[in-house]
Amino acid sequence: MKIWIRYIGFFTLGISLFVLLISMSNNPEHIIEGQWKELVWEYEKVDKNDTITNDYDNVSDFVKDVVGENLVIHKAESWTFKPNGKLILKGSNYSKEVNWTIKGRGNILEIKYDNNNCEHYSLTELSENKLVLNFDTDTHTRGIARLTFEKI
Amino acid sequence: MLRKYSNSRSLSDNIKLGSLSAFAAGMVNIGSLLLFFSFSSNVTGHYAILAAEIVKGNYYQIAVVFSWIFLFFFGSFVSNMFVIHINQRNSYLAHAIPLILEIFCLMFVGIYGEYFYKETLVETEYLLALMLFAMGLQNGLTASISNFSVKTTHLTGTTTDLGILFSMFTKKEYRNNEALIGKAKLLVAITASYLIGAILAGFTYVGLSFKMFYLVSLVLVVIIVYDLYKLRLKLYLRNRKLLKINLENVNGYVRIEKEKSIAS
Repeated sequence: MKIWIRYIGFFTLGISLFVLLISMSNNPEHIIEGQWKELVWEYEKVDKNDTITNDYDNVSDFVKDVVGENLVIHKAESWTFKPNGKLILKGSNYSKEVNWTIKGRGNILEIKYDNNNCEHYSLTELSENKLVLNFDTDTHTRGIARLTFEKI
Repeated sequence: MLRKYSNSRSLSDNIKLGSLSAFAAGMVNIGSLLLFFSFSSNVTGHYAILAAEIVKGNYYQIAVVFSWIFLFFFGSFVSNMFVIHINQRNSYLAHAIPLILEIFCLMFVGIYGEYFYKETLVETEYLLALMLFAMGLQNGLTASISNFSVKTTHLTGTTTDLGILFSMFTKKEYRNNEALIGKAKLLVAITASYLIGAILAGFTYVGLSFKMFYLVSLVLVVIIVYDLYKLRLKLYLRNRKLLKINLENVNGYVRIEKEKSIAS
């Protein structure tokens, strides 16, 4: 077999593999669109005894208060991702519109608000029904927090 | 920097080429990390990510990361194609074409990012793909023309070689070996330049944003123009070569003696 045929075959195989994978997949930007409800906040360094001494119904609420106190998402309970890059954060007596984009290989959620302040979250899991976000927190000592959603 | 090939290159040629191209790669890599949240000049991490995404079954991410690795490979392939096929006719041109292509890629990223970028995922991935192709071009070129001794877009091999060399220098016979000392100087220059480029990109990212790719392109232009300048200077001096003629009377005959010009 002539060498140039082998080369063409090799590159065609690579391109075909890419096209096949792309055709089998969904763009994360499309999967994330819609309304999501917060299920649970988790924090790797949470001290569960604090939830007893403080007035919290469960660990998740405690984590949300401690870890998320400086975040724009702090008061949100439902997140609605619009196709135009807008994200509506809604909670009890709270509503805020921010901008969202996905970066990297589809693994970073960037939220921009109020004069281009930015927050970044790792898209650990994104499926039709479940969304899991991880983020580093500076609360007290640095740790990783996890936020889980289900689609409404 | 660019004219000479393989073993005819001096240590100075390799240090100049290695330092400037490593500086550019350091800037590009940190620029892409800060702007797009992904590395663009090293693919070892991407192989690890590819494996992780295969395990998770994320087809979209597998396709994206696979295409990035493939484009880095393709950049290196294209670079060496120019070197081995055009080198016989015009070595300078053969070595400059990959850098010119790299400048086009990085300028496109800079201009598109500054004026048209809407921050969609598809745009991010295309721009990253272009940067990985550009880094493949650069790494392929520097490795190819330096007989594989200069690789500037990632520092894994460089750090390994430095570790080996530094351990060799514990023995006197190696400490006095000029070739090993030269190799160590080259690797230190590449590492330091990469780090300086990366730090500069980190500090200037907020102010420059996508404009930093113009700065990187300028560094690459310096590499191209430096050699072009030297070639033109040589040609100019050759054309203006002055002949000094000494006349001497030898046994009634006049002997004419040409002297080489100072320039040659």
